[in-house]
Amino acid sequence: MSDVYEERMAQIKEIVCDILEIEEDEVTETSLFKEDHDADSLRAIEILARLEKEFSISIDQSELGRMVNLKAVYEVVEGAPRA
Amino acid sequence: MTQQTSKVALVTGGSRGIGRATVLRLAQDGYDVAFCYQSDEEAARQLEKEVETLGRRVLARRADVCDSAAVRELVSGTEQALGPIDAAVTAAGITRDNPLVMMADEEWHQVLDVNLNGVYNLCRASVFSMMKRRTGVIVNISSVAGVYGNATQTNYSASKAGIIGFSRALAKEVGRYGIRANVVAPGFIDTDMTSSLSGSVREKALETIPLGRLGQAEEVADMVSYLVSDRAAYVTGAVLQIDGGITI
Repeated sequence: MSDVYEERMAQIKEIVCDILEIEEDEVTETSLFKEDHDADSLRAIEILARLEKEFSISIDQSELGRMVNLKAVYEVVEGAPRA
Repeated sequence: MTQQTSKVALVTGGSRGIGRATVLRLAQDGYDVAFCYQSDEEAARQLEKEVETLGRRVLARRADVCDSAAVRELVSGTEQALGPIDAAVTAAGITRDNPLVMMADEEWHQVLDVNLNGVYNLCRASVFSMMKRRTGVIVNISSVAGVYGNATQTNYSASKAGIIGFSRALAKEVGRYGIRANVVAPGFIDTDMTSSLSGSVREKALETIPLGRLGQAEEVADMVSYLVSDRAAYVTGAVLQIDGGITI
């Protein structure tokens, strides 16, 4: 994995864990926020809003349903246009 | 781009009846207003002028509320032209009255599509940005027919009752994001919709209204004005009836 990937994933992980109030060592790239970490599915909107601000991107509403784990969130961020 | 200083409202079914009165009232309240209309372009242009005369920015778009893509475009177009939507009001509605035993499938589906799916389409499209900003107000126009039912209006009553369930569920869902969702349930209001009623039906209705008259669209708009304002900051999931006492 490249440094760029590692760095961005670390940023995303920090944001997600902060919002979902879970420890960073509890979450893996594929563990599911809702099923594995008891997260409220509506928290995705808070993650989305923070990612948009942090990375100056615009994430489409249709992506909300995809944002189920860190890997998927990373892909959404990578695919999002600049705001 | 002009710096946004005023609040922005989006009203469906804005060119006539309760929607039109709401557009004007919210403009008087200081909102820049976008509205959509289905058929009456002349009325829409006239209303645009009236809003501009009030010194507010206005955006009128022809859009079918049943078409989710068109509604998404309406919302994004409003946000681009006027700014983020603070208040969304769904006033688009139709009737296709018939006793159930004689009702055509088309009459059922048309009414549910405009009256209920239209509400879903607008709320779904506009609540996304509201949730991100943690602010916003939604007012959906239902009807006393949705609370108590009206003979020959199973389709209309079902759609308007659906709006009440939808709005209460939404109010629970988005309350912690600082968003309120309420319902206005008018009785007989003097609009194009009720003017199509036969004379005898109107007379009979008048006899059952304790206040002895039809309501005015402006009176309903006043209630919408209250609900979107900070005066109603602790009101959500409510169904406010404005019906001259017909349901007492």
